Amino acid sequence: MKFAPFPRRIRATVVLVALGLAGLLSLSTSSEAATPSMSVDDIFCRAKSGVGFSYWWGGSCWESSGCSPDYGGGKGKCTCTCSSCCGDCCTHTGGHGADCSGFTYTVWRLANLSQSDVCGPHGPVAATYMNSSSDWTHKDDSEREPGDALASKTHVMIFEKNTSWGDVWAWEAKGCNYGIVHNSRGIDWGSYAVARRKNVVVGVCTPGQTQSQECGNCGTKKRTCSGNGQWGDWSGCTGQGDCAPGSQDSKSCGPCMHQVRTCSGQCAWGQWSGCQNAGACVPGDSQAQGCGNCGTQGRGCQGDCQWGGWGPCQGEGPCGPGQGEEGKCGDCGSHARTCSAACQWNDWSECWGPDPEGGTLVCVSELPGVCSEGRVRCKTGWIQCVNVVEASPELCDGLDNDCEGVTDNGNPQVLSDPPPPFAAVLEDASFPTVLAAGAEATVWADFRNVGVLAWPAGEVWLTLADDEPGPSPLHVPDSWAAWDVPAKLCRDVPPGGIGRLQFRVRAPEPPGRELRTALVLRTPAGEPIRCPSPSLDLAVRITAGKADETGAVDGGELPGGPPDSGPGDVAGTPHPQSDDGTGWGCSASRTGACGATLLLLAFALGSLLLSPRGRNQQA
Amino acid sequence: MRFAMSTAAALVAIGLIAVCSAGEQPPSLGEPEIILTARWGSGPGELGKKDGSEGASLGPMSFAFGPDGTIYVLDQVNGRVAVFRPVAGGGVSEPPGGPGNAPFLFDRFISLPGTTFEEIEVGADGRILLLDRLVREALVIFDPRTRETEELSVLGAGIPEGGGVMAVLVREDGVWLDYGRVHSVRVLDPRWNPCERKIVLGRPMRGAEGTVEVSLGVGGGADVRYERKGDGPLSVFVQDDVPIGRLIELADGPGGAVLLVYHCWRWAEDGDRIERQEVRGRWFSPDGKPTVAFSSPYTLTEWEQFREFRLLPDGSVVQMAFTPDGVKLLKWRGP
Repeated sequence: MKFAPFPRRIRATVVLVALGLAGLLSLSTSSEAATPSMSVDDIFCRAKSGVGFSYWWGGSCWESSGCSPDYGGGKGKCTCTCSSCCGDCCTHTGGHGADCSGFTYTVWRLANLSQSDVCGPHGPVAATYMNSSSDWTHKDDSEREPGDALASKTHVMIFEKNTSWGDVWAWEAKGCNYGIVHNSRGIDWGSYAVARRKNVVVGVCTPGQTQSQECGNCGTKKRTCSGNGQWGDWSGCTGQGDCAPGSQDSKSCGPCMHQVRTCSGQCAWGQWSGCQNAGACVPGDSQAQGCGNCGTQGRGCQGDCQWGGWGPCQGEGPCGPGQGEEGKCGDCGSHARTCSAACQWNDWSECWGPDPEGGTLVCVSELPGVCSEGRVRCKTGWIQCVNVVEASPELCDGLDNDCEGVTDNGNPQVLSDPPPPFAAVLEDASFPTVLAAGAEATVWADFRNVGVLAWPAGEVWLTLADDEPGPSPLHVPDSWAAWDVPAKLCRDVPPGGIGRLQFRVRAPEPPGRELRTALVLRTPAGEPIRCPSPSLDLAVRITAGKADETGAVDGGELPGGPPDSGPGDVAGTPHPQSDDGTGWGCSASRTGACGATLLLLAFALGSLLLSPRGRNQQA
Repeated sequence: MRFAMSTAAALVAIGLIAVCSAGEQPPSLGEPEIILTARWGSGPGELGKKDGSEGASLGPMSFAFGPDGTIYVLDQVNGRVAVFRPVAGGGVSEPPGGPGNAPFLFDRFISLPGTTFEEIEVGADGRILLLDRLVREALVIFDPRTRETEELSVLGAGIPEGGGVMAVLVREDGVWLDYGRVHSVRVLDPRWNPCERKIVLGRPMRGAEGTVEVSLGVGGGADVRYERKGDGPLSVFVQDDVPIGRLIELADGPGGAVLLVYHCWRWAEDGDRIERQEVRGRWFSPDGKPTVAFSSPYTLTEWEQFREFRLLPDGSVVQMAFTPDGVKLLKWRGP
């Protein structure tokens, strides 16, 4: 049950009257009947049920569930608009809460409340509890006992017990900010007095109070609180049924057959069931179940309608589903595998491992050229030297870019930047395409030095190509430096400069055939210059009869023509021939053609200037 | 407290000092130094007091010292912390920052994230540790610079309800809570982070050197028991010429000395009034011998306070006392 607290106007009147008349008010509220008996445990139970509810000035109402608070209807809320007071300047919302005196009055159950009611009239103010009244008696502070009230002029609380330090445990409606609390705290005994509720029985129950409890099979037993606040003995268990709820009974109705009945919630047996198999199985039945790693085991139903033991586990796989395994592979890798749902190992994963030293170890791969630069890797689990540069189209750079094992093979036309140490471009050439048997003619070729190194005089030779069988049939022993060296440079040619190589050829007998000779420039080290166009291919057709002294025809087929060719100086155009090997290049000879070239330089220059189609563009 | 009731009563109480101090007291530390006075109110340098009206009367619940000696008073009635900084040279009686604050000057307020805190501790990093044992049942770590708060429930092993927490004890190994004057529970590590709880009977000594506990004994005395690591338990029975009615503070200080502060009083013949009362403190050597003592006429008043005394690292003892005019902080030097 729940009573509404006094409206504020009436509440204020009650407070004022209480402050002025102290004990008179308490007499008027409770003198009509003797203070009802109450145990200390009941006081504590009611106090405990108020903890957590709000402070409500003039209020005395909360809800409980046994000894616990029930916040289902709300705790109420106190809001204070000033710091130094807790009365008129505080506002409260909600229907639950209490101030200190309302809390004490209700806990003490002084308004003839039933045991479960925690709502009722507010009762007198705190100061009233400092003196005796019809419902309580003043006691010395040192006589305080559990369940007493500790009261000052402005505050009152329910005393529970002392601490070992002389503080107290108490329940109190402390204030607007705090609400109703249970706490251990210090007490100024000079300000507080002790009030003891009348008719408090020292015990665990209130005299006359009864308790019932279920017992046995739906039976009950009772006990009554005696006059000293102690519970009497439990009565015998009465009103029991035939059985315990949910229990079962059975009887046989044939081999392995029986009937059952179940006890109801009212402790009465239900009807017998039909005759049913009493055992776990029918003899002859069999069962199988999975076991181990995808294996199976079976059991059979025995003559007593009970299952026999499980047989051995058969057909197991090598592993359990989901099982994993790891292992090493190669010399630096590891791999893993998992077990399938069918208990069979899946394939190993790819063998993998980290590169040694983080892949920074330098090594030489099996590939030639630029592809030989490698790093030590763990490849598919094995330590290998893996190339870090891939093959690329050959450049004229002195490197083996395509990793075929030959530097600058195939006469690559694209020069690298910077270019290689030695590189040459055939700018122009003159050689006879037709020559009478026994006749001689002069051949010259202009090569531009497009490498980074200068061509030292006498050290860069024009020689037979490596695959050219020697000696050359066009060989002129007096003109050539050797049977396979038609000419050498006779002066230094810096990068960008052009060097001329000049020599004589002689048409051997018999006529009627064409002779071919492939020539190539070589570095001072004797290595052929590879690119872009360091070679000269001679093709001379031998004719019968004496040829014109200068009857050679310029048959040089220069791809695209020389870059510095003048008008009319195109591939296939006859060039004037000179037998003496003069010019700004020089012919090679065993006797030092370079010296002769220098002596004849003036004559050669004159010849060129007088020639109607001289190499004036090069002079 | 008598002082809060009338001036006449206050004079009577002061007169009791000699009576209460009689008997076999060890050498006295003498008169305390009043290091702070603050009037009741809500202005600068003033501290809040709430007069009960069908509810509890409240004063400032606690106080603490910062690492630089600054005083922090938990003025929860005004919803703030009042900060007082020491004045160089001291002795200023009427500083401009707050009349009557000497030798500490009122410095500033720190507004609090609540009005139900009862204990305060100040960390070396400026963070403030607050205890709200009744409403939140939690420790609140509050950074006044960022206004950030972290709330850590005190409930758990050793602490079934917040209302039983009676003290916050800051030790080298973390923060302990005194529960019901029976045992202490370590709830925070030295960095104020939650840690695995540890429970000891009584209170932990500084440096995790042992435990010390006390309880009221027979005949108005008190039993002090301490047990240091490596030593056997030691018991000291404290008896005074006036019965000890309430124990206030128990702590170990420099050099292993132990401080006990208690409230002693005697009822008049008619049993309706206290005839004599005062607060006394006693220092004991590590082997349990009383060394020095002090006494104060200021006792607990009707205006509730959570912490009355604080032991400083140098062994000084400070009392927060309520008077009809306001708050006083009294300081006794160490033994």
